[in-house]
Amino acid sequence: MEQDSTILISALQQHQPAACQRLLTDYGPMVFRMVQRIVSQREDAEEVYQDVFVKAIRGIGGYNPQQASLATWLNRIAYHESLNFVRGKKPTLLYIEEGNLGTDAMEAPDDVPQNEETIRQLEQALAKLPPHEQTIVSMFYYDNMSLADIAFVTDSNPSTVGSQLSRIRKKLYRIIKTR
Amino acid sequence: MNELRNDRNLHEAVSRREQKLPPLPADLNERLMQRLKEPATAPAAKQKRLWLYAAVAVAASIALLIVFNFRQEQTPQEPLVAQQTYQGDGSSDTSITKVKEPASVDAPTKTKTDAPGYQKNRPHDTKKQRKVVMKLVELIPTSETASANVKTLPASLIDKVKAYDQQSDLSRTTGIDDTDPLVARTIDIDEDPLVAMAAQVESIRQRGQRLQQEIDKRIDN
Repeated sequence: MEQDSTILISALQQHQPAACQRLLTDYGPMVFRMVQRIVSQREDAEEVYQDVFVKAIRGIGGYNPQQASLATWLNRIAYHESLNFVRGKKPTLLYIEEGNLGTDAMEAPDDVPQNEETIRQLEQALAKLPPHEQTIVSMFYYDNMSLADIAFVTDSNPSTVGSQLSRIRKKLYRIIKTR
Repeated sequence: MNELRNDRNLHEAVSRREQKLPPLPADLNERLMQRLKEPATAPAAKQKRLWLYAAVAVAASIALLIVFNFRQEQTPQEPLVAQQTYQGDGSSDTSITKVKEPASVDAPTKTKTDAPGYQKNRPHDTKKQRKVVMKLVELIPTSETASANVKTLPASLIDKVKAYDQQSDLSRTTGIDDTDPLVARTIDIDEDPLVAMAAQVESIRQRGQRLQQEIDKRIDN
């Protein structure tokens, strides 16, 4: 796998069309998912997706395999490109901030039995988080990325990501409780 | 960390949410590949645009240079205009109305031209001015025959020519006596500020005299 990506990178650096095609085939769905987590409109997401790969292919010379995998590097570009796109547009949605929640709300429970009602409520609560927080949660729970990789994507450090995740989780349970 | 990872409810909620996201459109990668092939032509267009901007910038700077240069240059007529003497009709107060312009434009800068390095800073102006002066000098009749010819002219004609020389361009063309400060202010001639100030002082003085006369009269009565 690692050897494959090394070959792919060197082919991309030589601007081979076949390498570009393979990059899109292998990493396209992952990048599109990352973009969609932040950019909700389909047309906008497609535009950002194209921008991500144009940037990635043109800037492939700046990729350092020792820093992160190609997938993480692409996710990093997608994350920042999507956030820049969203910030460039006027905000149309209001997200729940920490201060808006009641102080009497309880912290996240240590061990909650899996039940349908809680899952449904959490799903609804996730939609109320700001896009960057939703993305961090998705990277951790859905993509199973390590804290170091998430930190690379979000341009942060692993301990900060850990505390962010913990805070977001507590926030989600507080949203459920205050409903 | 384990506490976070083991939250099965959140894990499931995130998974369900992710599964609701629409898949990658089938033609999106094709469109992207077409866009990636474009750069072969895009830089050429960009370069062309850059060349256009550069050409416009160069043209604008040349135009600015020409405008500034034109403003600094003197026309051959300017020294002659500067030599004109504005005089009143003689009936009014001569100390106010008879104001002489500097003999030439060069006069105020004469001391500067003596300073070392002046020639280096303003060679363009002085060279042109010298050429104009030299040409004017050549035009002045110096031979004895020329002066003899002038002497033979009738006195009335010479007086007329002298009076005409003393008039400004404006008064030559319109016939208005623009040396009168009141006239100058009325028709908004760009007069010397010193002349204007002197005229104001004079009018104030005259008003004072009139008032004084009236006071004297009343006291006498």
